[in-house]
Amino acid sequence: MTGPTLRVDASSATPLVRQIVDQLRVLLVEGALAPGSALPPVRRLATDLAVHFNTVAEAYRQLASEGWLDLKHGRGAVVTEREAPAASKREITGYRQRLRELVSQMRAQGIPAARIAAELKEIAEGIK
Amino acid sequence: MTPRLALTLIAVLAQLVVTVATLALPNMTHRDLLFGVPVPQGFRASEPGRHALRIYRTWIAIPTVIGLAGIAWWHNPLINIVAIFLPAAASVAGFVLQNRHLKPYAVELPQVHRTALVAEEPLPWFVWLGLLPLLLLAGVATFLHQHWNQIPLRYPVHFDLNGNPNRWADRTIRGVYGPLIFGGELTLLLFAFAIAGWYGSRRSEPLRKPMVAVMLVVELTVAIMFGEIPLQVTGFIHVPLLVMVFGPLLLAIGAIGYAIRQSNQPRGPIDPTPEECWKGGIIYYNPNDAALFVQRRDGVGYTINMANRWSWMIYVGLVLVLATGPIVLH
Repeated sequence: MTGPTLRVDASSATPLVRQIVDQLRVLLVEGALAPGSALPPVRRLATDLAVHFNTVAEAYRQLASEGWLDLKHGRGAVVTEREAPAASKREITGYRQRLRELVSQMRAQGIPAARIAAELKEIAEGIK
Repeated sequence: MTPRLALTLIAVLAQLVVTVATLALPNMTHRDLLFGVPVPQGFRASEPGRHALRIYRTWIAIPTVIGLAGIAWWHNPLINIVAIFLPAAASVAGFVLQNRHLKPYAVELPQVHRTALVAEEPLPWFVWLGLLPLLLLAGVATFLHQHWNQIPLRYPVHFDLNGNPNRWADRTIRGVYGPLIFGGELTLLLFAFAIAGWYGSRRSEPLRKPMVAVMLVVELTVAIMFGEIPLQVTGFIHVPLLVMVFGPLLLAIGAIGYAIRQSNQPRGPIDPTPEECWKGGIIYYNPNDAALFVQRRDGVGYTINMANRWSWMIYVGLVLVLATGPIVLH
């Protein structure tokens, strides 16, 4: 069994739906899941990850509402070709605030500013 | 050898098989589990580990001796059946007791599950061999249909200790095809179990494929047993009693041996199912887990997630099959 993998930690404070959505979004943004590729059916993914069907179904629905997935009854979830929407000023401000919090946390843990900048640059450029 | 002695010996042998299987249970379980409790490496060799094993073996040894005495003393078929199942009942009780005692030693399993984002795998090719036992029963039914006039109008189906017939069946649809219908129901149910085992378990399970194979062997064993009975009682074949009893038993022992060998293969970590979802280390009830079959903690293979609504379909199927037994096997 090869291909991109998903990992959930039931003991984590992060809700399971968010763990699945966040990891799938990273794979979608990075292109590891190409348009047209099918995701495992809800039942199969829920069984493998030892979570409730509704957890996976909700994660798929969230990604479908963001335009990443096409949910067709009986076909499961298929990755769609997605045009990147133009982010509003308010959304950009929100991301900026989240980044500031994350960078502050990294600085508080002793990571130098140059290293943080290099990491952010690498991540941003690594995503298509 | 008198028939009575032969029956006693068969009862003793069956009881000893059950005893050996129950005594071997802790050794057939993943090394990181002891009586359903996830324990640290090397715990089995520690004093609390060895103490738990000693108590469990004592729990089985006492009813085994009592059962053997009962078989030897009474020569009663009912006592024989009770004696055969006595070690199994003691094993369950001993297991649950030791599970409770070892809980304080349990290690916390990281509740992490991983999977590859790939589509569902098709059923292994050999699963379709599970249709052969059904064809075998259909073949026997066809043979009986074609030789209907050669079947005696009345034939013996049960014998007393001296080998004299004491129950008879008539040449009727129910009388002739009853065992085949019941065997067919059981076979179909086991075939459905094998398919459900494939789709209802996690793909990361190392024993997923071997367990499906074992279920198919059990299915074949059942089909041979129930296909053989109508041919034997109607006089078309004459299989010696010992072969009838020990033939299927050998097949079943072979399948169990295969499962034990598989369980001794190097395996990954145990399935990190939540500790609080295990009742006595035997019953798994987790409404938040979509799996129908999960790695069992009391031996090799899988157990059913009782919180999964499909588990009730399995129980209903099982009850329906067993309930039709007295109707078709009159």
